[in-house]
Amino acid sequence: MAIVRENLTHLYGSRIRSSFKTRLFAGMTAIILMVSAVFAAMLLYQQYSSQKKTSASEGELMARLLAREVRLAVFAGDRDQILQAAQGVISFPDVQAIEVFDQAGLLLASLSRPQDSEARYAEFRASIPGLLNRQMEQQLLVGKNGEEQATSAIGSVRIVVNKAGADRELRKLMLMALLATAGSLALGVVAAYLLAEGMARPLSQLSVAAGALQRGDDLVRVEVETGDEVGQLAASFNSMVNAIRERKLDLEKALDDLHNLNASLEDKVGERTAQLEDANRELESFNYSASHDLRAPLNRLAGFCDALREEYGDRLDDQGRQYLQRIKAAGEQMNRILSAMLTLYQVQHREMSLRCINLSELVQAVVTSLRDTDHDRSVEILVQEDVLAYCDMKLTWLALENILGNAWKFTTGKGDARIEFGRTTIQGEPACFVRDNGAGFDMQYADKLFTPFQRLHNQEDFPGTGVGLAIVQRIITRHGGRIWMESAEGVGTTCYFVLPECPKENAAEGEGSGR
Amino acid sequence: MNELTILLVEDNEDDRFLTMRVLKKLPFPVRVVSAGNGDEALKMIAGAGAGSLPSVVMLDLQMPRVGGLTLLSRIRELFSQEQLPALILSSSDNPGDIAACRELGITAYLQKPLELQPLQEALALLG
Repeated sequence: MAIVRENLTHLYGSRIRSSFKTRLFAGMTAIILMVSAVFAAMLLYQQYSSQKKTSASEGELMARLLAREVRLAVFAGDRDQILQAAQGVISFPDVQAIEVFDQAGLLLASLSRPQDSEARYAEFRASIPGLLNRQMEQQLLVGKNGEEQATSAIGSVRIVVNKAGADRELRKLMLMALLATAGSLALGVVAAYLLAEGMARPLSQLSVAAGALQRGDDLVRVEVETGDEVGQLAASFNSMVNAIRERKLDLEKALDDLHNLNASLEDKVGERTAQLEDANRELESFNYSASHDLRAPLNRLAGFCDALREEYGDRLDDQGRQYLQRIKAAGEQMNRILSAMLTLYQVQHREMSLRCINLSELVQAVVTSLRDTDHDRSVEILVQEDVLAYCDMKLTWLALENILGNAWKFTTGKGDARIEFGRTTIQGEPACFVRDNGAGFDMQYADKLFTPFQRLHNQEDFPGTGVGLAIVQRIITRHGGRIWMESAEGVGTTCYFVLPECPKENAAEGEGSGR
Repeated sequence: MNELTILLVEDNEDDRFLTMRVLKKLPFPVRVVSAGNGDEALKMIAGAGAGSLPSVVMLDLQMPRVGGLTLLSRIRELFSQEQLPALILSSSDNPGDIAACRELGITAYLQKPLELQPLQEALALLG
């Protein structure tokens, strides 16, 4: 696509260039042609008219000279002398014929050459003056005929001049004029072409350079040949290319800097993350091995309690046996705490496999197992149907087990114990809740609820490890949700938690497979 | 029926005492050979002829130097589960440990402190 466009631009550009050159050349040629034509025409006209004038005045002068020459002879009636004078005139190559007339118009003498049919002829007449004075001499040379001359004329002469020579001369002149015109025209055209070429070349260089710039060559330069507008344009183009390159380099440098900064930032983040992960791993492995290693001596304690009871129980009184029982119970509590610590560790490390789960059914299952372990309790359970969430099955089971276990535990001793599970909207956000009418707690300690080993009740009243809600919070947080509690002492507790919603296309499937 | 011979691999004296105490409660006589660590147990097993192998090896997981898992894998290089059955006795309930042991081949995984009933059930599996 881009190549086609580039080619088009290239073609278009070259067409513009050639047309500019052609137009310039054609315009200049036309002007030169017109000027040459006018010049030639003027030259020709001037040559023609001067030639015509020359030949006319030559003929007239010849006629007048002849009239003066033959005046005495005519006056005397001497024909030989007349002829003699005429012979002198006819010796000029262009003179074709000479005739001399007397006062009455009678032919006194006539001389002629053989006629050339193709030639053109001009006829000149002059009267032979009777008186000869100074004025007449002047008239003879200047060629002005006075009125009195006619009255005093004693005869006339007629000279026929062949114009072939003059014509030939004229043609020669015309040819020379034409040649000169053609020569100047040719020179003019060549000059115009060179001028047009010279003016168009920087423009086409500019165009080529602009094309190169467009293709990304920012080192392109246009040679500045002149100081005129085109030269200035070329200079501006060069400085523009410079500016573009500088800007591009700046941009590249900025990008490079940004890239480096990003890289170093990523390095730093990676480093910190690695450190954090190391620290976390250390802490967790400490937690793991601590809970693990504490177990062995604890089990020994339990084992020796058993040995003592079995082998020496009959030698102890009731109080002694009760002490033994208490030691064993303490050991068991510690064992539960260690188990909870391990669970806390495992919750953080279990791989989650998310799918759409029917929480209502999960709640029912957990309640069933609670009822199985505690047959004597009578608790009213209300479960809203088909509450769905997008979560990990095992972790969510563990969370619900802890939440419902708490509700179950803290309603102990209530005559009308009731636990409710459902879905509601808190400040526009959908949330699940587990509500009980149990012991409740003072809300001023609410911030301690999710801290491991923080307990709000006495072990004697409500036994526990103090890790359960910490486990629940980690599970909910790992799903990207949140958890909070509302409670009032003696009234009950509501635990709210938010889990991701099922994707639209999964909802039906999850609901279906849940049943 | 041959007398049941148990090779007990346990580094802790107290634990050995408590385990022996439960073993003595069994309703049939057992001969217990004791090893204080993994190296010792391995020498005893490798040195024994085919006829003098113990009926079952009972081992703790957490021992210094050669741990229970390492010992079990060395034993399994020499003898199959049929030739020399193994019982694990550990205070760990870590699913990872249990899975690793099962992969190497064990008859049962027993939790400390050892109690008579699970022990009897495990020994019944040996046939």
